[in-house]
Amino acid sequence: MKRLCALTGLLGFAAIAQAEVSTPTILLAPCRLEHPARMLALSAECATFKVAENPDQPNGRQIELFVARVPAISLNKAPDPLFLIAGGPGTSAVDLYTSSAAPFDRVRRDRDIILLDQRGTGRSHRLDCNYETENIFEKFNEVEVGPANRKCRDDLSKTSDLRQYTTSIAVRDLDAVRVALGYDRINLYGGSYGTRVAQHYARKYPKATRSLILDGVINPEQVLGPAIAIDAERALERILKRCTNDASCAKAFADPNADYHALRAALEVKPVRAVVADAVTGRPINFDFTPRHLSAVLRFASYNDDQAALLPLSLHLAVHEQNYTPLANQFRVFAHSLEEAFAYGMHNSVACSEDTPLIDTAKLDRAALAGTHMGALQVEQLIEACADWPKGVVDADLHAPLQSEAAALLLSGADDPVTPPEYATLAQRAFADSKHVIVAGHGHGQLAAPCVDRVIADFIKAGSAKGLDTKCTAKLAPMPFFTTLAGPAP
Amino acid sequence: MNLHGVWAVFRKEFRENLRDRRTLMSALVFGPLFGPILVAAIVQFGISHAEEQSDENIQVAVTHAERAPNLLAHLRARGVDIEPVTLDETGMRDAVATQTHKIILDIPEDFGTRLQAGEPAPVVLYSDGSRGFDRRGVGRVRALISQYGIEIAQLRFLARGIEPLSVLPISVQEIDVSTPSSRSVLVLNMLSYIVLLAMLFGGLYLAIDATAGERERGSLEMLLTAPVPREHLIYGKIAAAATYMFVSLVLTVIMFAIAISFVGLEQVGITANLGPAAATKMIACCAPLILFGASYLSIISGFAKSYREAQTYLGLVITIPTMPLMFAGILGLQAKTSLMFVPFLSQHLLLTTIVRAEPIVPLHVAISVTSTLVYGVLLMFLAGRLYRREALLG
Repeated sequence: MKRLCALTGLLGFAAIAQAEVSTPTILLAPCRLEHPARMLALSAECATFKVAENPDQPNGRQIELFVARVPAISLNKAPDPLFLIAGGPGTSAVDLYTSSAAPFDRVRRDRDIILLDQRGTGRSHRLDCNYETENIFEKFNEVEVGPANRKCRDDLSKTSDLRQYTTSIAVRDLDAVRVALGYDRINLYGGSYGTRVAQHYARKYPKATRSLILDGVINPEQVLGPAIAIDAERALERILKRCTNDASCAKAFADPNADYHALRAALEVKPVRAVVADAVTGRPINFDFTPRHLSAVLRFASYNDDQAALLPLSLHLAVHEQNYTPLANQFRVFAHSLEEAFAYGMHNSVACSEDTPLIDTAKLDRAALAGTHMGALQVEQLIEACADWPKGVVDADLHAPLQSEAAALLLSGADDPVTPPEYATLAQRAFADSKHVIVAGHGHGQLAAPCVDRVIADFIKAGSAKGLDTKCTAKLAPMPFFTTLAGPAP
Repeated sequence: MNLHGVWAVFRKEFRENLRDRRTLMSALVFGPLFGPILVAAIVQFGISHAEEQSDENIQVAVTHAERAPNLLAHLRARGVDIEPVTLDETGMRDAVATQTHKIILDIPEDFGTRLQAGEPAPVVLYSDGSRGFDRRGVGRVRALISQYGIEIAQLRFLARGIEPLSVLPISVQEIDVSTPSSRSVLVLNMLSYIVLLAMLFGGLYLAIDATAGERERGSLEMLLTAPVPREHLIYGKIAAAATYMFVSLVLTVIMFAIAISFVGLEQVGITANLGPAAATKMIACCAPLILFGASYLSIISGFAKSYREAQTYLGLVITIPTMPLMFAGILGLQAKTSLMFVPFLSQHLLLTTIVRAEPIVPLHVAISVTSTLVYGVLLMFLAGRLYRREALLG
């Protein structure tokens, strides 16, 4: 019966794909794509592409999707472009490209790169939930997420049907854009949540999918939420262990794991009044540094080996010298960048439709969660935030195991706090032609790692993972730990 | 005008030269084959060299590697092969000068203490700046070390609560509106020069042989007694030379298209618009020049007393029509209506426009084609007049 459902689903999509052949082609015009921090600008060709917000009501409200093409260098370009799909959920594909364009330079030599801001993100009917707050540090301590989310829901619902911003609908947009741009087959790069979109696209449009690059992989069966705190804790343990195993780091800090637990325990008893200078204006900011702030720093610093390099030092300074400045500043940077990059409304539409409904609160491993710095609060808040969010459209097979003919390159960071390599190992079962690269000591997303650009380009060029040379990734190493505020050991 | 005579001469010259290996070689081999292949080979060499430099591992000898293990790990992850060596300062200078080691990275004793004190921590790079290849390697190593320094600096700022981006108060966003095709003229700037020169060379030996050569052999007198107007004889010869030039032109353009397709221009962000459509357009733009060129060469060689003398003249004067191309390069001339009246220059500008994959102005083509044909016809008549003079027999 389940198989029959999947089959009718597929046929339904085939019919839609056919109908969309007649849509007008996208008229691209020269444009400028800016780095999220406005550090640089790139020339590209852009267009807006109108789609029905609700695909079942083609004559209903229309929304505009932002599409950019970074054209191939070669006039004899390969017929299959590379589509980039950003993570989050809630971040923009254009931002992903402008903040890390270099890794795709080799691909671009003979392939177009297509940036489609997924609906609800970037410049595609962005669903924001940002409310001005005076003090980002205090805001974070609010335990009640329900009221803010309900307000956001009500505000956004005036101009949007929040059920229409899920993965299942996003892949339809993606294919409509593919057809409108005149491509028969495409390659997809998905990062983080984008790997879910890419895999679901491969499921729904197998004939149009040539290859997948999955970076920071979520296997389709994975329901995000219950494991986030546990995975983050494991990654932190690995990072601190890496310090202990490193002679200079161990010498400087003796036992970073003990520092971590001591700090957590102390903050649980009593938050620390901290004064930090605002990172931009230099003005002093007073705030209570709580276990929640600590947890956020520990979690987000683990995303990236550069930031992780500060962790043992930051913990040490807080515990032994009552200097909370490094931790507080790391927190400020994360909070700021998340606020800028994420469209929380879109994030909620995905998470509250595709993940939280499948979380069985009775089955949560509360003992394991209690041992983590995030605790059960993180998943409870997620569920609470979603309680009043409209449930969106989810294909019946979104979380079903995938079987794909497409070639797949899977990239993992060994110390990734949110999509550990085990997820990629599970996802890899879907592909007959695949390779999984695990980079030692790295966190979430491998685009910035040297030599990964070459592996990606070679993989796309071959359209197969067979015989792919990934030797150079074995030499990659994480940023060495800072042993003093001046830097790492030489 | 009785064209039988013209046709007869054309046939004779065409066939005779077909049997002449020298003419064939210059028309079909030297220009058309050699030029494009040479250009393609040079460009390819430059590109693969640059690619190797950025792709292949660099060998760096390091003294006191134990003083900077983390820095060296950073370099190793980015394609630098480290070879620990023990050398004093003189030893390092000698080793680089004698090329025992191409690049030596010396880690001074206080590197670590200064780094951890937050003071600039020096490392010393030894290389031989007179060797271009090594210099690029040094540049890469320097960039990798600086990059590591910047990463440390950003984390220093972060830990101290300073926004890392605040050290860059102004960001200059550069927009390059060139296209991969338009950039191709940067490496293919020789293309039109070689195409036009190869075309002229294609008719060179026939033009010499048909005038100065015949005179030297004494067969010209015989020919002039034939019962056709003298100018028709030269028209026939011009037609034969023009035919060879056309073949040469076509072959050169095709060879360019083939040879360039083997060059990995895309690796340097460039692509050449040299497909069948572009090649056809190029040939069409240059074709009107063959009448001009054939007449021009016939006139010049008509003044020469012997084959050898004609060869000497023509070797020099053949480059004269291509002179405007040099100025075009120096002055950065763009295609515009007034320049379309200048033969060779107008073709050069049109070829450049085609290679850049930019739209061609129909008026430009019309002026270029018409004016070039008019000049060609005028020159042809001039050649005819010169031939009618008895002095021709010398």
